[in-house]
Amino acid sequence: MAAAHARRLTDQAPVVHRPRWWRRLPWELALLAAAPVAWLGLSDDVTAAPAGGAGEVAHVPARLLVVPILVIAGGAVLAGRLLAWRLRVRGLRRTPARPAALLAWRRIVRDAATTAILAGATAVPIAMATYGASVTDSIRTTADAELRMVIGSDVVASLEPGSPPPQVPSSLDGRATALRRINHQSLDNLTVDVLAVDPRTVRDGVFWDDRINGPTLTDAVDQLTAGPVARVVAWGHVPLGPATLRGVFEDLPVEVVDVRPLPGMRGGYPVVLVHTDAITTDHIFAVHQLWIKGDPAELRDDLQTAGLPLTRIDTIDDLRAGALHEPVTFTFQYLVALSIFTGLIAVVGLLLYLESRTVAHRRAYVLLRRLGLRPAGHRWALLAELALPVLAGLAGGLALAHGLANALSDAFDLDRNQPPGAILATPYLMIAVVSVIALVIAVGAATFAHSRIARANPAEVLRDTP
Amino acid sequence: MTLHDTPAASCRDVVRAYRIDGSSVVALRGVTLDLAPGTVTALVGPSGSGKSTLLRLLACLDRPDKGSIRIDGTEVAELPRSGRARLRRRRLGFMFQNPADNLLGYLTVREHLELGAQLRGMSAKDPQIDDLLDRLGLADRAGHRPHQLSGGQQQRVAIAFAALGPPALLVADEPTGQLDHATVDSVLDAFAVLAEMGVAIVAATHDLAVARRADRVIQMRDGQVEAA
Repeated sequence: MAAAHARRLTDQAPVVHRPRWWRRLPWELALLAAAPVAWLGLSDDVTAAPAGGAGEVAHVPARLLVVPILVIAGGAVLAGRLLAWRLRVRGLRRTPARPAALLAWRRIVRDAATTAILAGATAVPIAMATYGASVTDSIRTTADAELRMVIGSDVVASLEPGSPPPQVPSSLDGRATALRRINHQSLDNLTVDVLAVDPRTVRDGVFWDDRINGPTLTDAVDQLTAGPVARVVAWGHVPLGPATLRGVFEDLPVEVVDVRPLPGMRGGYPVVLVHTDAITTDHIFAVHQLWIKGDPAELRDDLQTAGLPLTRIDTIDDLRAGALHEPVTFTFQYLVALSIFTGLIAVVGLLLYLESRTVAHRRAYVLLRRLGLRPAGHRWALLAELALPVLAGLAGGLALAHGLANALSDAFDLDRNQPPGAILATPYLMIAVVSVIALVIAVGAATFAHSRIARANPAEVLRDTP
Repeated sequence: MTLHDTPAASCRDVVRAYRIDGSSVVALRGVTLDLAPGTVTALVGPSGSGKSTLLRLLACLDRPDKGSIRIDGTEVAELPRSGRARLRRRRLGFMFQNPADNLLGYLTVREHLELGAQLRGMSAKDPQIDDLLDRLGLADRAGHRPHQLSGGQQQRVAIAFAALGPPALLVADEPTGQLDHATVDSVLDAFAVLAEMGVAIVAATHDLAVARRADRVIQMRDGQVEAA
């Protein structure tokens, strides 16, 4: 009995601590899960509130900053974790044929956690900088496109009523088109503004950006005809189908074949794009205009020296004054600045890490040099060891930024009532800059590490190996 | 002279001096010796007797001021730096006192041998690798990394790492200096295996066990061979 009692006291089954299932989940999933919550919690009907009075400034919804930071941080850590797992599981299956490659690959695989951290630390600032630049460029491009859609081009020069059709000055060849604007006409019972354009030259001078969603300006122009029933394209609340265009010129039977955003909607009335040959009679209310692409300051000078009977010159710059997008883009420029700060921290961390392993690598370097590995081979191995994770981080960071910008692009439109909608701009300059910086850091860090390691002299006495 | 008659290494009247703080210190004073293929030579003597300097010259890591050193028939003094590096890569093996200095922590036993094979211009799949692992009793440790091995096993891996090729000469500096008596024998057994393969082994040592099992013992004092 006593023995049985004693066994009961001593032979206890070992306690198995099974962590709850949620404790096995990667913690970065919490960041990713928080992103949609933040998106909903910080939702706002307006993307950017224009300044309503003295002292007020446009603002951008916090979710456009908070959600990307959560996704970038969580995504980079999760991708790093998956990379480390993949390296551990599959990395040892291949044996590179060259000694330097073998060394580099084995160091990468055996130190998979460090490789993943380096890749993640590279990806975060690159993603933040590229996303910030993408948002800034997209907001500017969208806002500029909205302004150009209002006046129709960079510069619109109106001639005196009754002037003969103007010839495009030779200095403006290829970037200007002449058209007639006839405001306040009737399309059945609707008041519309008519733009009579020459399909051959309209693309030279009328604004369009092929990144705008939907059909292009070319698609619209290609549909215009000047037959007995002119085929026209409209923008606004205009029904499709046959109609009659009435005004100070004789009634014109038309067929509205398409309704889609068009440049030149200035007065709030729908715009109707008509083939210039469809309106044969001219009249005093038709205003001849030159729509020109280019720098407004230069074009203004060109126009004034061209000897045209101008009454008015409207430029994109006039509309830009007081535009609300600049304060908004400043917010994202701060994000770019923050990413530079983050990148600097990552670089300092990388250098400290390289410094910390110098002693061990110097010992290995002496061994390898005595076995015949050339300094160039060792430098190459170090470069590959650092460059591969950095390149993986670069690719991952760019992919994260691209995915975020695409997913959130609808919110980059500051004025959703104004066409053409958000235009997603790819920040090629920023991509080039961060790519070059990443490569320079990889090469510089490898050179630094090699110079620190290669201070060891293989000709030292064997037992004095540092 | 047949190939077998050619010494793996030979020194003739080798002199090496260093300048330390402006004064000249002669480390070797006219050393002459031959190391035959397939033999184990123990180099013994007190500290400062010139053992390490002689090892460094035999390892082609330095050049003599006077005299001649031939490795596998090649005159070392006439070789440029790149030529000595090539000779080191192809015909010499190294083994250091500290087991940790002989191995790379991120490579397994087999990967060490694969790297060694590549550095010597051989394929990483060369059958010599499995043969060496078998002969040195490391076949069941091929997938282990250095920290998973005992000191004696680490030194045997270092011997296998150095023995690929095989080299003409294995230069070992206090190869058993950090091993306990129980594991010294396994290292000396490995030396015997290499010697059977025709490799000449020269080991600087203070360990009597090494000297006892060597085919030849060279006693050095004041930069000269005192007894051989």
